Amino acid sequence: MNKKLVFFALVTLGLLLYALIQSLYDAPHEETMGDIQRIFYYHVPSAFVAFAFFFANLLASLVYLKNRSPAADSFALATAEVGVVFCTIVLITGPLWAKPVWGIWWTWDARLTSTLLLWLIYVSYLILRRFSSGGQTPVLAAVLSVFGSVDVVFVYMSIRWFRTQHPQPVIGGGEGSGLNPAMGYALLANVVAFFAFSALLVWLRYRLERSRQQLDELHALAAERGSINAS
Amino acid sequence: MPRNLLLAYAVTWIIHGLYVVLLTRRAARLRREYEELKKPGSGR
Repeated sequence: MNKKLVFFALVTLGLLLYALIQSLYDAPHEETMGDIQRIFYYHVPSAFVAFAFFFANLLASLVYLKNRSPAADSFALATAEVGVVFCTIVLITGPLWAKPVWGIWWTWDARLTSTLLLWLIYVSYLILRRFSSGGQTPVLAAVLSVFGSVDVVFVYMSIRWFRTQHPQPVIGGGEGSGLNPAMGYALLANVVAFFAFSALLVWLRYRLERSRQQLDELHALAAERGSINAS
Repeated sequence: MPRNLLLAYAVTWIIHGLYVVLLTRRAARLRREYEELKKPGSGR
């Protein structure tokens, strides 16, 4: 295996362990919610990663639509898949946090509903990629990505535009918002660790997809030679 | 430690673990397909 990849994987593992210690032990106890608030250190970085990779998926899809680059198409698929993994975590950790704090698992407010919709859009994207055959599949997927990305903006802005059960932004939310510095540090440690881990996953998935494309080309070549020999 | 906190962290790592297993299995399948294609008489 590639030495750089192994090194990066080991660094990522170290970052994740450090971030775990920060979130479970070093971050201060939150007075109102108690220890359940520590879900924040996994819920929020997972959301950041999902948003970032759905945005990366949009950029890669636009590049693909412009020049039909197979590398851009592979990158788009890798970012969408890893984005869905992290968005799934957001949708599971959210209700696990909500139940003890709000008394309910779920409510159809603008933030939660648009996040579920976002997950459904990118799951549809992956289903399209997986089960649709034919040369136009990457083009259709890229167009779906362009429409889907609108919901990324909506999810992000929903707590600013609407009154929601979901809390208002803690970071960059204007006057009265903000985090205790020790909590901010634990959050930063987790954001860095989650981005490193997700980058590793995207890199692995990208390489896998590139290999799949090369194998498909070899299959096509073999089939072509087979038909020439048969005739 | 609150039960839901433990669950949230556990579920996160179970999902990541399953995804890494999925990637590993896909890579192994791809390698097998490539080996098949390289075999003499496979048309290549």
